[in-house]
Amino acid sequence: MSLRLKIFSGFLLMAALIVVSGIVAVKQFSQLRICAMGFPAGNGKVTAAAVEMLDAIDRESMGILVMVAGDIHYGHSMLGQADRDFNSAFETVRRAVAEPGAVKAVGDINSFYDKFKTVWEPCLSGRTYDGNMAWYLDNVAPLAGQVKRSIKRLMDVNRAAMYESFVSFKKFAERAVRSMVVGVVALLLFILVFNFFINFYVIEPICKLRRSVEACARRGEEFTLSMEGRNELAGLEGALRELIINTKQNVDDS
Amino acid sequence: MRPQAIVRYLGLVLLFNAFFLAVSSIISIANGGSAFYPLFFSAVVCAILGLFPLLFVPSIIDITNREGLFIVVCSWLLSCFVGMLPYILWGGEFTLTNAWFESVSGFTTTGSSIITNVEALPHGLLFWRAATHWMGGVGIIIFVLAVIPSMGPASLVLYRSEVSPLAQESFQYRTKKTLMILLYVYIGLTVLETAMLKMEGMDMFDAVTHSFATIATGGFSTKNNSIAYFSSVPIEMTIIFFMVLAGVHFGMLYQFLIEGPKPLLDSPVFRYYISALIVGICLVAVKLHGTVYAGWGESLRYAAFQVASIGTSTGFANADSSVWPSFAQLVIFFFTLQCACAGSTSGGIKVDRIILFWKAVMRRLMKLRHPKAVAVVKVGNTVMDDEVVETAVTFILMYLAILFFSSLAITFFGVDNMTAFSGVAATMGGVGPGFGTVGSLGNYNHLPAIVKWILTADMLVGRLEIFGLILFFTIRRWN
Repeated sequence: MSLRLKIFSGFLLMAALIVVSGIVAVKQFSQLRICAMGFPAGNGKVTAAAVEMLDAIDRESMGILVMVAGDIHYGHSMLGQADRDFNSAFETVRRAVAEPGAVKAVGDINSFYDKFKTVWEPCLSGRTYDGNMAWYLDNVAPLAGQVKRSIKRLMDVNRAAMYESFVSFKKFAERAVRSMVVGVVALLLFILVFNFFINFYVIEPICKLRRSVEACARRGEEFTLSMEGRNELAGLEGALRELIINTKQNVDDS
Repeated sequence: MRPQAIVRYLGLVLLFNAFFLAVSSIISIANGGSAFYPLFFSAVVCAILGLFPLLFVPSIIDITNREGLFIVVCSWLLSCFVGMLPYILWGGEFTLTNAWFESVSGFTTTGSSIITNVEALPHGLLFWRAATHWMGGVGIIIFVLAVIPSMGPASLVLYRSEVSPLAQESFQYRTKKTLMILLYVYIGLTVLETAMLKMEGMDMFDAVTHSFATIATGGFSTKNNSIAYFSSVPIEMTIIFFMVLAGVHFGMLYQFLIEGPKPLLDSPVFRYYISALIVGICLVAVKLHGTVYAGWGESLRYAAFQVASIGTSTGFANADSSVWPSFAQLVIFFFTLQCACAGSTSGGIKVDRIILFWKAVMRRLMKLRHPKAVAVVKVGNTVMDDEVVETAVTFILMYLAILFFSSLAITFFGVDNMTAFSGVAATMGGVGPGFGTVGSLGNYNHLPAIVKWILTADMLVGRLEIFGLILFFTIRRWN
């Protein structure tokens, strides 16, 4: 095989190594990207909305208590605002969740909140429980507790999903980094071997040729170098040998 | 030494590894596991790094002994190095140390593992684990030599560097024929065992991987509970049969096929090997009966499997022998040191050396009684050279010395005596499971990283049979 072809195939193999390393790294990073895109935004939204829902439930309970205490107007406005906040947060959660566990938790929140709302909704239409703490403790507080517990369950499911996402994220990140490191090490190794071959099969023979030609030209020694193989350097060696023979013949003739 | 010659032969070894990595990645695609990219990338890296020297370096067939030994030792180290690539790229439990441990354990056919949940690994990676056993079983260089049509005198040099001198003695054929015998017997036994395990109810994947691990006397299983998972007497019987066969000198197995059972039965090494196993099984079964198992049947079943597994340096398990009575454990520990015959895929001190050792002891005792008597060591009808006997005895002493110092080093890092001593013996002998916390159904994951590195060094020392490694490290001082 000619040196040109050997060097070309060397570069071709190096290019192949770079391309494959690149493809694998890109593939691993794209998996990492999918993982990264999926979890922080969605899970973060759900967590924030769940906190908002808990706050709204607390404010609703507070509004009911205010109404029970006798301040109907202020209680109304508190309840109305808290209900709107709850519904808006709930809508955010409903849109963000996808895993079966979280969907079930959202369904539970919905049904418990409906029950909770049916208890205090008559207050908005004029019914009064003025000073009736027993009604609050027996009917409102347990249902508010149920809603809050279902919201906490959603938060637990969300936290578990986040943990799993983190684990996968870590796994993909580890794979991406490791494949890049392996690619770089393999490339360095390849370059090292390539450099050795270029030195051994190209540079060294050229140096030997130079030394032989110099010895022949300066000290009149015989050109004894013989190259192995049938590559370009062997051709050069043949041409030099011929040149030296011709030159000697010309000198002898003259 | 000519670096280009070494690089060329190492390139062949890399290509050989690349082939098995490619097969593993195909299996990974077929099973939809997450190991495709790690295996495929490793295969490509190996193929490119292996192909490159073949393009540049012309064929070199006249390699020296020094180059031969260098190629053999480097091919082991290089294979272990590339073997850990898929593990590292896959991640999970595989840190650099763990991946190196698993890879060295695979190629040296030790079968010790750091994986806590084997069944969670994708099929591609499990196949690669089994393939490392299969490649390492008969010796990577031997495989390469047998597969590549002609390497001229290089075959002989590499063969001499790879195969232990004891095993070479017993082969009476030319190098090429010996290589072909090794390959035919190896592949033949693997195919036969795969077929039998398949017929006995294993699925194809498990049958192939367990055959790879049995014939290579490795011990990597695809199940957390090893062979105990299958809970099948026919499967256990088949595996016992093939483990025992894999522990016999492959040349003898070939002779058995060609000339019938006479040469095999006449061989004192074979007779001792089988007798030792039978005696071991009986002793363990008697001890287990009534203490661990109520019936004779199950005592014999578990004793036979565990003794055959350890006595051939395979390391499969159908019971947790680390909770067995001390007597049974000590009997099994003897087999951890002794293992099977030279010329097989087994590790350890080997039966041949044990025979030579006892014969040398008997000669010494006779010399004490009759100082002027001319005493020779004979194995069968062959009079053994004093040098061979001396080498065998030296080997045993060095083996035990390394065992002691490695155990000492390991206990320094906080590992208990039982785990350290049995762990070192099991890794040096290529057995796999020891006792204590590294029992037959346990693993080596919990050990400190430095201990894992010491144990991998022991695996390599055991696989390269001590003298090979000493020669490798003193290669510059050779005359």
